[in-house]
Amino acid sequence: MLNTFKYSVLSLARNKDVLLWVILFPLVLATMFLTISGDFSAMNPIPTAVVEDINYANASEFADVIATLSQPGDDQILDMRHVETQEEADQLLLDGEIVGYFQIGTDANPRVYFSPRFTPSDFRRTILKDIADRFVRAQASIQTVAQHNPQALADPVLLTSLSDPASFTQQVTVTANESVMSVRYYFALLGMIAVLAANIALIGIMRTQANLSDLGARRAVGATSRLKTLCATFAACWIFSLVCLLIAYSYARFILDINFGSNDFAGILALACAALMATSLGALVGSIPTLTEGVKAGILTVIACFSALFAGLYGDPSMRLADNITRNFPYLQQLNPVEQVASLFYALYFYDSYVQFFQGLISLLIMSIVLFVGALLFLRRQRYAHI
Amino acid sequence: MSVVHVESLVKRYGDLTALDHFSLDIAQGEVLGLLGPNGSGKTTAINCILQLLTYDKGSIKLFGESMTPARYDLKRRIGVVPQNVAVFEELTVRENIDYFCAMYVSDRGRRKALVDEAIQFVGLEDYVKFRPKKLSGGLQRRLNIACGVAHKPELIFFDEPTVAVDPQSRNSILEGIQQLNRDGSTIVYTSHYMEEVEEICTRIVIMDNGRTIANGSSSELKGMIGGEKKVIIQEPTLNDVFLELTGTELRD
Repeated sequence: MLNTFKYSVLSLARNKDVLLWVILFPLVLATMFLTISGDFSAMNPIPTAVVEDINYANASEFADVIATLSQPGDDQILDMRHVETQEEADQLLLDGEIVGYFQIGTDANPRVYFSPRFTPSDFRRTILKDIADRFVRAQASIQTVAQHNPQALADPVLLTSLSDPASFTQQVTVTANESVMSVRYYFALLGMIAVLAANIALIGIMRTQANLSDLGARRAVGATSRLKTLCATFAACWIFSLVCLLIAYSYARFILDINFGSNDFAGILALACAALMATSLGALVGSIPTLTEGVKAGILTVIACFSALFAGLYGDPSMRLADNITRNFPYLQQLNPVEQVASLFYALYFYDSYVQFFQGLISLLIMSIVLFVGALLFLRRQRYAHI
Repeated sequence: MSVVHVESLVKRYGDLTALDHFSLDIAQGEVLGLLGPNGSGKTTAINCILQLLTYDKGSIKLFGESMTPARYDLKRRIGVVPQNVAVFEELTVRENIDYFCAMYVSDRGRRKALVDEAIQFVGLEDYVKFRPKKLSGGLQRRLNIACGVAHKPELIFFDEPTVAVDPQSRNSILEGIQQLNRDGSTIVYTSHYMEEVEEICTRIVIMDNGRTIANGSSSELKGMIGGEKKVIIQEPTLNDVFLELTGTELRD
C-alpha cells in the first residue's frame, strides 16, 4: 500500500499536465492579479488642467489645494497643466491629453469637466470629482462656523481640521482585517485551483480502473487488494492536491504579500478540506465509464471556469454577479465548489469568530462526502461486463 | 493437477456470444498456445480467467481452487503480460518494475534482487533510469514483460507480446519465455503468429467463435488435416533472410 502511495505521488508529481495546470497556471494567474491591482496602487498622477481665469485668481484656497496635490513626489496625485481659457482646456480634453479640468465658477466653487473618453466609473474621474466635492464641503463648513462662532476661526487647529475631514473622522475597521476587497479575487482563485486540482484524482483514479485504462487493467490483476490500491491512490491524490494548493497559497501569501487573515493554521485546514473536495470531485468524474480522459478533463475545466465565474473571479461584474447569487440564491452557491472554498477564506478574513469558517468547513466536507459516495458507485465494481 | 481448469464458460455481450461453453485444462509446466482469428474469444477467455470480466456461466479454477476477484493468494502466483504496454509513463524503468513487483512481494530486500534479475532478464540494464516514452517499441515490450514476470510467478499469461516488435526483439522475447518455462513457470501464450506458437508451445488450442475447435500438439494438429505426409521444399522466409542479414543480436 505504501508503495502504491509512493509511486502514485511520484507519477503525479512528474505529470506535465498536472504541473502545468495545477501548479504553474495558478501562479501565473496570481501574479497577473497582483500586476492588475498593483497598477492601481502605483498610480501615475492624473493628467488634469485648471483654468486660471479671474475667478481662479480670487480662489486662493483652491489654488493652494491644487498646488499641494500637484507637488512632485510619491504623493503626487495630479499632473497639472495651467491654461488661461476654457477653450484651451476643452481642446486638451478633445485631444485626450487630460482626464478633466477644474474651473472656478462665479459662486467661487470649483467645477470639474471630464473627457467623454473616460467613463463615469473610471477611478480617475472619481478622484477629480472627490477633490472638488471635498473642497466645497470644507468651504461650507468654514462659512457655517464664521456665521455662528466667528471667534473660533482664530484657532488655526480648527481651521486645519475643517479643511481636512480625516482629522475629525475616525476610521474603524469592523471586520477582522482591514477590508481590501481585491483579496476576494485570491480567495476565488484558490477555489478555482482546488477544482483544477481535481485533475490529479481524475488521472490517479483512471489508472486504477480496469475498464478505463490499460494500466488500470494491469493493476487490477495484481495481488494488491483493490481496496488498498484505491485507498493509497486516493490518499496520494489528496496529499498531492494539498501540496499544489499550499504552493499557490504560500506564493500569494509570502511572495505576493497577500493578506489571507492572521491564522495560517486555519488557512491550511481550509486548504486540506478544499483538497479533499477536489479529490472526491476528480474521483467522481474520473470514474465515469466510457468517457475518455480528454473529455473528463474538459468537464473539469468547464466546472472550474463556470464555478469561478459565479464566485467572482473575473473582475467586478463577475464579483457583483457572485454577490447577487449569494444574496438571492444562497443554496445555489452552496453547490459551487469554487465559492465554497473562497467563502472559507472570506470567513477567516472578514469575521472575528470562527463560526462561519467552521460552517463552511462542514459544508465543504458534506460536498466531499457526496462526491465521494458518487465515485464509489462506479469504483466498487471489481469485474466488468466490458473492458 | 491442472494449473488452469476452465469448464463450460459462457460470456455474452448482448446478443453476441463471445465464449460458447469454452473449456480449457492446462497442466503444470506446459506452454499453451491460444490461437485464433480476431474476435475468436482469446482475450475474452483470458480476461475471464483473470477475473476482469464477468461471465454468464461456467467455472474457473486456478491451482485447483475457485478463482474470484478477491483471491489475492491465487493472483500472487500469476503473472500477466498484457497486449498493450501498461506502465506508468512518468516512472523510470526500475521504478515501474519495482512498483509491479511490489504488488506481489512486500519484502524490500527480496524485491530489489528480483527487480535486478528482471532487468537483467529482459536486457534493460542500460535503461534503468529511462522513462518508457524514451524507449523504442521493442524496449517498451521488454519492460512490459519485466513488470509481469519480476515476481517469478508460477503461471504467466502472455497476450500477444510480440506485436509490433522487430525480429531481434521477437527472438529475444520468445527465448525469454522458453527460459521462464524451463525455470518452472507454466505459460499461456496468445498470438496471431503461427510460427511463434509452433516454435515455443508444447500444446496448442485453436479457438473460433468462442469455442475450442482444435486442441493438441503441433504435430497432432497437423495430422488432423490429412493422414498423408507432404514433402515441401520451402524457400527461406523473409524473416529468415532478415535475421541472416541483420543478425540475431538485440537492438534498442
